[in-house]
Amino acid sequence: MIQIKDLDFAYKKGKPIFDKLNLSLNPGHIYGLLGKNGSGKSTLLKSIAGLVFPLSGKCLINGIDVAKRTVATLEDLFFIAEDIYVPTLTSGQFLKSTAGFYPKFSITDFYAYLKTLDVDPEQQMSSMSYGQQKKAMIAFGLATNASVLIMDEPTNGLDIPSKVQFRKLIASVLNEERYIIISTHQVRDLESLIDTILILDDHKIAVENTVDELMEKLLFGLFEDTRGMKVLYEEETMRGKHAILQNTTGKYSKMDLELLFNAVTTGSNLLTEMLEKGGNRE
Amino acid sequence: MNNFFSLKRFLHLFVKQTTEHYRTYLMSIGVLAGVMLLGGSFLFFIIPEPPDTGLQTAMFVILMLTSGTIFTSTVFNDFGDRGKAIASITLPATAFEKFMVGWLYSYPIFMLVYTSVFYLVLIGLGSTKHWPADQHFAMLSLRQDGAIILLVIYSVLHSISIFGAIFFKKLQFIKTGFAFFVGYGLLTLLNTLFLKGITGLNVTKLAMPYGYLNFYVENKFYSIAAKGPASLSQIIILILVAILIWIAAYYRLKEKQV
Repeated sequence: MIQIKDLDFAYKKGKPIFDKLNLSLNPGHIYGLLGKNGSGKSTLLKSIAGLVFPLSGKCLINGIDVAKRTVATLEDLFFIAEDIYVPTLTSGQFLKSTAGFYPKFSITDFYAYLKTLDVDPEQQMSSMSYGQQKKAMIAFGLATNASVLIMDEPTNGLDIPSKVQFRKLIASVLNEERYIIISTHQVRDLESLIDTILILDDHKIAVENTVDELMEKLLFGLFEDTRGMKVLYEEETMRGKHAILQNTTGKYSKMDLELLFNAVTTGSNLLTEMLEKGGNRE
Repeated sequence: MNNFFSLKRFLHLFVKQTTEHYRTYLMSIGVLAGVMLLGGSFLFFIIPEPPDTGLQTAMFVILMLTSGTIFTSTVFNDFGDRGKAIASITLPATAFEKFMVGWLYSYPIFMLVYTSVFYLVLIGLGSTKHWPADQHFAMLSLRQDGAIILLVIYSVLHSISIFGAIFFKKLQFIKTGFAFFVGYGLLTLLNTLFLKGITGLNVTKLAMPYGYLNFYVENKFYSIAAKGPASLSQIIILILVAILIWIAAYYRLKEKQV
């Protein structure tokens, strides 16, 4: 289990990024981390990977403090950064120089993922386009078979077919031991992939719910008139009102992640209070 | 699992570093050889007599300290760039192993390569020019008393450079050099005030650490310098300083954040 306990973090004194942030992540899930620019999405991912140290509080992976950067923790963790770095090597050469550090690395999987993502293993990585470089590193990260896979804006730079392949790949590599944590601001890219939604707002985790939980409690839809309905949040459009209602009928609607994100970040108290009641926060 | 040092992991890391950076290292050797050839050619072909060992030693020392500190400032470049730093920090190896790879490349390997290139250039240039019969070209020998002092000075400068390479994110050499000169200036000032305080003398010039103490007493000028056994203590203190800064650099790397 990944546990973040009372995490306080700030880059500058007096400007906290996190204020007593608590979060528990379980294996076997694909977590989608959403938040406004500057809300601390990347910082939270870096805290989970032990790349930054909290002012107070702890981040533990299976009970081990990640700030210690033990080899055992690092062997079972792979971080795909937004600004990726690739050396002047081909994917095959990179495999030879780096795969040995990861005990669960699968060479067969690596070449299979490269093929799926349409990356030439013989091409020098530094001469690839940004999207190709990213795909090569995603293939490598998945092939490490690390339990904790962290991706910061992984779909940035990917073309439409690659995004489709990416979603398929991620869904296929999930198993009961794996944590996949993806931060994104392109919610549409990953809407169908993530099973648990984390929304960072106001220095804390404002939403921490599975998609199923959200769908049980909320009803998303486009309505001409919402008078008399239990509206939690709505946005006026030319076609009518996009609204989130309290789900009292048990009906299942298609989740509009963008609308939910807007509702949370613009301060829909009704919605956040409702989600807090049944959320899995400590 | 050893969370401090594993030889197998270290060798693996060393091979990875070499594989990913050998082009840069080879180019650096090329530049170093080019500078030596250019400067050496000037000395060999412009000056009528063969360069004596004193001049060769001076060139050897100046170039070694300059190129060594420049190279050392680059060995932890991967920790200065955000994307590279994430890859480097999350790579499953200990901070000590990562530090030792950089240390090994910038200290013993650099010394070995530098000395080899210097002698190769020296032999090459020496064999291309024919001197008159009464003039003899002699090569410098590293088996001299000054070699230990040079090693100690290089150790101190290396430790400062490696610390700066980890501490600063960009322009490591310039920033480290600037910090070094500012620090040295402040140290000299404090040393002068300290000497004034303990001796009660009118110290006339800035007294550099381990330098001369110049003062007047009843219009008589005195200049005092440490000699004999004091030199050994100076060497020991400098070695200790270098070790302390290396340790500080290691901890800085261990606690590096992105």
